[in-house]
Amino acid sequence: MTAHLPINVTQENLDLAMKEFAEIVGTRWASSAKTDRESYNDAYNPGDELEFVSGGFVAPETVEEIQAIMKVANKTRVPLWPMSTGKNLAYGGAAPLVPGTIVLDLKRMNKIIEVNENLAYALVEPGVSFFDLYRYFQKHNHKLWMSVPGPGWGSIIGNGVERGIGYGYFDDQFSNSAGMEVVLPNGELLRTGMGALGGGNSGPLINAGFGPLVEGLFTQSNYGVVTKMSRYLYPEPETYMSCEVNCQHDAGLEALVDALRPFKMNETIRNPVVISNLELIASFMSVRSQWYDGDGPMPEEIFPVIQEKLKLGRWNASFALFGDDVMVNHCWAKIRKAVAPIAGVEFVARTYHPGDDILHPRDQSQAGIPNLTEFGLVNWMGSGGHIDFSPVGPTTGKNTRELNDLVRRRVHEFGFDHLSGFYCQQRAFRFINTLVFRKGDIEHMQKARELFSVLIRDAAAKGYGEYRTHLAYMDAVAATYDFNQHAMLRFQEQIKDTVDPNGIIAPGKSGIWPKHYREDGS
Amino acid sequence: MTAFPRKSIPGLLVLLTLNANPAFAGEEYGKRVFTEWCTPCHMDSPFAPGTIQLKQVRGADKAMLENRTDLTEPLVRTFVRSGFAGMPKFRRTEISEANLDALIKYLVKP
Repeated sequence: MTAHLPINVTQENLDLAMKEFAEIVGTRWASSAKTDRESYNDAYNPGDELEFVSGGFVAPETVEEIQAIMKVANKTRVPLWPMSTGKNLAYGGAAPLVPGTIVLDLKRMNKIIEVNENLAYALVEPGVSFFDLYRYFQKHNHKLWMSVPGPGWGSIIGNGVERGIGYGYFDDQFSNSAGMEVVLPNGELLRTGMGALGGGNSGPLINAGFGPLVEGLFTQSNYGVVTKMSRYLYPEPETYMSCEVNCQHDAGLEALVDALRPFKMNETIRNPVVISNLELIASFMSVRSQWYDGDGPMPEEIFPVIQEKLKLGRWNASFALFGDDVMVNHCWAKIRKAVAPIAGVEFVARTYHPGDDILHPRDQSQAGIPNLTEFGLVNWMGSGGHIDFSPVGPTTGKNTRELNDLVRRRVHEFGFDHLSGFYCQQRAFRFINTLVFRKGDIEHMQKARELFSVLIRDAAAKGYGEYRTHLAYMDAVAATYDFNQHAMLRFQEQIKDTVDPNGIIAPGKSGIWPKHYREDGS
Repeated sequence: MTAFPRKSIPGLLVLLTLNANPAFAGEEYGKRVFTEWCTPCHMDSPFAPGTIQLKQVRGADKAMLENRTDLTEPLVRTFVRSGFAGMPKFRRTEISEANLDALIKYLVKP
């Protein structure tokens, strides 16, 4: 018995689906018991955890089991919410958008199918985390590095299909992967790109293929279940230098962005230039009450104290240089020369060679060593509640200043601390703003929700859109992509109606609803 | 300051098929479960979120879970399955019942 029934699903059909799911995967791996249903809740939801409660879970181990599950879902109309490891934290975690949806938990699909040392790639299943692949490299003595995101416990495929970003040599995760294998809603198995060729082994290498590329259709979408994907790796460099340029003054942000961008553009710097504010980095390694215990945003006079104690700037740029000693030192000298005229900048560099200990967490992340240091931000206010606002914009000083000031003003107006960082690629940045709130404090959570809606609206009015968002805001963000009367969403809905006419996969993901939900209007 | 781990997170060289080996049940196996699932947050490091939080809330002497003598079975089971404060919950597909039992055996001192 479940507390929620998705549209078009009867209790009888749900019970039938759960029974047949259990026959496919075994009773141990399919359940709608209360404890199992609630184990997929978003623990950091700005509201009641039960807002996005699942109706249960089914956890297949093979592609064939997923295909059989699709048949049952189509027959019973029971919707499924695929998730890899459920660590999409700050964006909803493992929880489904529609209460009562059955989570298709892919954690048991945890095979590392191939690691190719010569061509530097790994082919994995969705349950494989960054930690898993790192352990595999160590066990098999692979001299390969991967690009890991902040917290490293997430799925390699999950992070890729959510179009996340890593700290390593390859910054954009999705662009540095290939060879998707997908179970379509009708149960058919699809391989994309070169993998669509009946034979050969180029699938994991390149998204070339023939005709339209479709890999993007399976990112942030509800058109299929990705069961395999490659991830590009890079050979351990002769020399790795982790660089920091810390600016003591808030006013230095624009100059810092404009001075570093040319080095990103000409690929002197290959990984993302991450420019984090003081509050964000402080939240990784300390708690708010160490510095300030009052309500409202942390006052300006506290910042110099934190800067002094933690040896940080108001803005802290970090990036890496890879190569050999001569190359790395030469590049670092050029970067220093370009940035030195900015008032209040300080430089830090740590150089590593194969076999050296890598101690600093950011240095580890840039070297493909997963850790959970950044997850420390859950401690900032003690209760763990947080949600990320992640707009995209051009990598220019003018744009970073405009967007930072717009967001910071609103965040402070609503009484929150502004924890943020710009993840700069060549041409565009993703500006990740973490709103930390007191979980369980209804008024504080409501304020966070109101703030988030205001931020979506204000940012869109200036031409900044989110690249990823929490479950509660998928419709709101989709609505801001409004060119030509939402031509994009209408096209996405046409695809949805064609490939998933029964609407069994992730209803509402990225604002894309099955036809019967759109007609229902709820 | 405690040194951050060497090239590898301490103990990350653990068995790769932990969930597939429920036959182990002793303390040694529990330690391996701890290493795989708990160490990244609860190791002895100024950068470990769980250690930071415990130190702040419960004091330095309670910060390291492996050294605690006051942990009980219901406490560990509840924290793992339901989470607490910033700690997320861990599902059966992540830490199986057998592995949770082994973890409890390791952490709960007789």
